[in-house]
Amino acid sequence: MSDLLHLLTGERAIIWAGAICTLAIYTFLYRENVVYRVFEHFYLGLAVGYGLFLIVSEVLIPKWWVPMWDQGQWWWAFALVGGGMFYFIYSQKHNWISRLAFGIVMGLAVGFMFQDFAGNNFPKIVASLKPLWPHHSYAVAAGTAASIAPHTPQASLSVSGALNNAVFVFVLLTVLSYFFFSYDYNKHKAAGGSARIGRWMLMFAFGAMFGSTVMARMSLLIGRVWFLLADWLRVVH
Amino acid sequence: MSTGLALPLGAFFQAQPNHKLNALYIAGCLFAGGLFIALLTQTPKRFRKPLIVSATFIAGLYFSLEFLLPPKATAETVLASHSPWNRTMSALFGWFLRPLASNSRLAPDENWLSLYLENVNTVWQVIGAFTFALGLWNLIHLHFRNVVHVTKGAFASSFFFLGLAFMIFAGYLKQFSGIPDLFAFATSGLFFQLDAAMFSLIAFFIISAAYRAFRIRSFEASIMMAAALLVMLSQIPVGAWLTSWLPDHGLLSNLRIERVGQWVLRQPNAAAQRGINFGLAVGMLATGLRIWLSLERGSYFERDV
Repeated sequence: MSDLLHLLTGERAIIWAGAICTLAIYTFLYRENVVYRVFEHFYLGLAVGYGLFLIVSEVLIPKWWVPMWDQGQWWWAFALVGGGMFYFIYSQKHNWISRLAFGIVMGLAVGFMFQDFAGNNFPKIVASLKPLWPHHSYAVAAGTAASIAPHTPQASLSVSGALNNAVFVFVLLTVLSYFFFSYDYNKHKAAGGSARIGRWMLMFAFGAMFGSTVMARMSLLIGRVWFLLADWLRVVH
Repeated sequence: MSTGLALPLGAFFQAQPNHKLNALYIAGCLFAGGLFIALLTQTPKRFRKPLIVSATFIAGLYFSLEFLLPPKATAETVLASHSPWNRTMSALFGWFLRPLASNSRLAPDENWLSLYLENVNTVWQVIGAFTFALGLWNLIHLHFRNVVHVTKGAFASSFFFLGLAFMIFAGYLKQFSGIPDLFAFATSGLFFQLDAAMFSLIAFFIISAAYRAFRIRSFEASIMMAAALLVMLSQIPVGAWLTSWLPDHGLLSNLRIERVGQWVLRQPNAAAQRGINFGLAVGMLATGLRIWLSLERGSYFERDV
């Protein structure tokens, strides 16, 4: 039995299954068809099953069942009650209980987001204020306006580095000015001009992002084609 | 969990080593939870909304206060300092700062609420995991209806169940019977392959999307096309070949297309993305505040309870 299972799930079987799946999905390039739809639904079922497996094996068993049942931390049973409250969404009469549970989760998520906002963005704001003048390395004395921490060593900045910093700061400020919707750009010509340049910079960045996305998808496609030719058909090495 | 909860609630929340007693305690918890929910069902209508608003606010307060309250190191600095400002702060908030500074259980960057951070995160994860069945139920309900009513998509819907059952069976064998072969086949042979094929399919359609996006109708579209072209050329051998006549070192080497592409991604693109992220973060903060304080309006938030 185990030998049969091993044969059915061996390396060649995995490659053949992968090739069939890939070709079935690519039939969509001809047109929408039943083979594609079947494999699309099969993929959906596998994805949901995989998500369920991850939740059970990575969260529910190690973080809930094992502490509660094996380690004697009985109070974890309350989590089942808390989780069960979400299912009142299907009750016509007591639907509001699920909103209570959702409210608690949303409250936690919002509180976490506040922390994340400060933890992620405050250092980025500091890091965005880059020096624009080339200089040698030096140490900032404690207590001066420029010191972040006592005797912070400042790395040297070359001319090209300063130019790069200038481009960075210029793009950042113009893009940010584009998001100031409270200005009347007809009255404030400078703000209007800055916002217009900001829009150009945004389009430039969107183009770069699009280019990167295209290349990422192309590399996925190349990977698939390589899989079919090298691993499955073995016509290239 | 035990370390965090054991701090203020004492001996009550102690792990129960006796398996039978533990099972009894669990049954007690479930009974108490059932009573709590039964009590909730009896809540008069006028108290329901205030209850939801309060629960949302209190839940959000934990992470907010954990961040806003000063850590132990700050308390120590303020108490030790002789500057007029810190002396005033010590006089005003000494009742709070002194026990914080002298608490040996706390690390320098922690306050009392930090002790529960891991527990709250785990509880949040576990309760969130229980909600997975909500989405699963919706999918099962939809496809089951298709199959039972023999609709146009019934045949395809039955393969949803096949995929789901196969992955659950393979996962069960791996997790509980120690047989990983079938799970390896279900993931490496089927799921990951279908996943890669599905996303690589986008490569074909992105070409038509690019055609629509890059038709030069305005100055902005031209900028976008130029940047995309530059980045794409910089990542393929033909692009590198175009500027291969430029030297490898020195000032002119910076004009080689692969370097220009990298510079575009690292400087103007990174700066613009940071600007977008700052805008997003401020928007999220505003929306978060509205949800936290239950000021958000819309169908879900204004529905009668």
